[in-house]
Amino acid sequence: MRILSVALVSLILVISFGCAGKQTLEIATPVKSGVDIKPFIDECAQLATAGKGKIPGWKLAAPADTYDEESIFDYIDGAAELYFAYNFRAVAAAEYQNGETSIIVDVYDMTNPEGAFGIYSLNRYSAANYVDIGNEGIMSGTNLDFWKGRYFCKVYSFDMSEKYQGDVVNFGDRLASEILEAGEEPAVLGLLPQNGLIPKSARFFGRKLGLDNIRYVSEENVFNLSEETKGVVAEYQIGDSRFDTFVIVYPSPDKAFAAFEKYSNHLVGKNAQLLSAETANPETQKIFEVDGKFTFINLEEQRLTGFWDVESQDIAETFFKLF
Amino acid sequence: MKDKITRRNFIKGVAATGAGIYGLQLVGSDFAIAQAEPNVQLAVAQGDVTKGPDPELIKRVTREAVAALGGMSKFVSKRSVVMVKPNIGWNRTPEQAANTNPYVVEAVVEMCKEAGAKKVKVVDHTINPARITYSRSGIKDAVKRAKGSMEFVDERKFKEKAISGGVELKSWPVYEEALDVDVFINLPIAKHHSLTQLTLGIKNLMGLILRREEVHTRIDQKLADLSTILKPHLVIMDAYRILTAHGPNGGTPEDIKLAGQVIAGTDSVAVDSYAATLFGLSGEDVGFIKAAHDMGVGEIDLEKVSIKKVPV
Repeated sequence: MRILSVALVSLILVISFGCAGKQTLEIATPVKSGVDIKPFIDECAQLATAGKGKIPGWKLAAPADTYDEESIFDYIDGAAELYFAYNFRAVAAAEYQNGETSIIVDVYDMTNPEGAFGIYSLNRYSAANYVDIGNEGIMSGTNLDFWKGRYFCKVYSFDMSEKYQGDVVNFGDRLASEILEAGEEPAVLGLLPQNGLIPKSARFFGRKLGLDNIRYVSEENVFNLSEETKGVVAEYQIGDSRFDTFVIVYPSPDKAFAAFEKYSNHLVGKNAQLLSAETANPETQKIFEVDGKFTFINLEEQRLTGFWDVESQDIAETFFKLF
Repeated sequence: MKDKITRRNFIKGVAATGAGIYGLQLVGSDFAIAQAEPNVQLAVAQGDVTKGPDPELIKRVTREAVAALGGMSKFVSKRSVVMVKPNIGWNRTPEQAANTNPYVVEAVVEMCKEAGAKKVKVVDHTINPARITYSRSGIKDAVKRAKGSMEFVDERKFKEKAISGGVELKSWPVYEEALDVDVFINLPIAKHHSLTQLTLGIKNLMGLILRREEVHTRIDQKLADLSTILKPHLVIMDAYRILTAHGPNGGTPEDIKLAGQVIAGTDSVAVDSYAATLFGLSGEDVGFIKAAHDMGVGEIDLEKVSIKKVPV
């Protein structure tokens, strides 16, 4: 039975990785700062105040507060660094009141859909209450996060009782309808094998701080992440085995190789045990035992892929042999 | 001024002398009734979380944590001036666990007054406008009930102070009153933080400095540098309702956990190191705690700290 299970898993993986294919991924040039962002700030403010007079019972308390790359620290202080890791450009915050409580609408301009999806995706988890607002939204109590186009939006009520959930949704719908461009998810998500992928578990990152907020790997930048890298972490379930998969695309094969070496050395430094296994290319494929679980990394041209926390050595070695 | 310095130094001396280094005194699951025991360095009061965030329970848990250290009169003498520094940074309600719990603040102010403090000031250099956060956090009303004094920071009180031994920072503008006041009580809330993994007591000191955005790069060492001059007489950590993800201010109800604890101590590193365990981490895992320990600010190894656990 065990042999059959491993064989089945192998078959699933052959199919899934075969379908992922070998895609060439272009690394987009980051938007440079120094651009006049006043039009973007104004647009954020317009979006944040789009509910004025439109949602019964709620009044806009004051013109929206707006913040740029310099002043955002006055709004969210150190949390701003994470937004910068996703190409933050501007934010507008509007407060609506109904005489009993307030609803806050935050509209973040993240420069492009990749940034908007990325910062939004940090909120994703398998048991989240997903709602059809914008491209995708998550509702938690009276807290709504969604993304559409280049915007990441937050709508939340200070009164966390259920009676305001409908109003929060109304504000979200109103706001989403004002954003005309939908945008697409980052292309790197397309490199994830589909079989075994837990829906809506993919979280995007480029810079280290993004990955830190998905899975804290190390204080050091062991994957050499930068504004030039594109990565994704997603959850998989195959049989009884549940684990995280990562894909990171580098601007060149040389940079991918350097990251492969650095992360391998990092694992060795953490007393991970490099296991010997028969592979197509031991130079670019490694499997480690880490605290009783198994980590696998694979280098292919400008792409680094791998798995973390596979519980069964048999399954880990099966994965390994498929590359 | 001389009298004030003498009294302040006396208080610090008592606190330091009272805290020796003993072996671990973990009681484990057998929590002891709170009594003032000599040489307790860290007190952890545990409330019954099945009762939810009951205000009177929260206040009792706070009182029991301080009582286990010897009581507030060990730190606050008659006619002293106390500065309490909670986290009031965010335009958030208490239920959102971004600011220190107002009932923890209320209990602390009450205890200071009971110990004979002439004045108890509550202050924070907030992120969102203080006129909003002071109210929305519930702390303004709590301080009023406890007959404390809510104050806005006075920009004139930020002075450039030398940090001898600083690795990244050789000097920085800090709130001078925190250095000069008779008693400085640091009153953070334990939270996840997107930049530093966690925000605890040492991180809470950022509410006493200017030019915060410049501290965000190589932040762990910079926080450690600041902790060598901003030294509270007492740290009381609100770990009653903690934010486990999307901190420091963006948590949803799913991110908020009722831990039911208040942690008190005089060693900023030890208090933070203990609080880190509530998030599945150790002090060694959190950059600023480790950096502060490496600079000699306090003890990171909880096995070297005398800990008293108190059920409430």
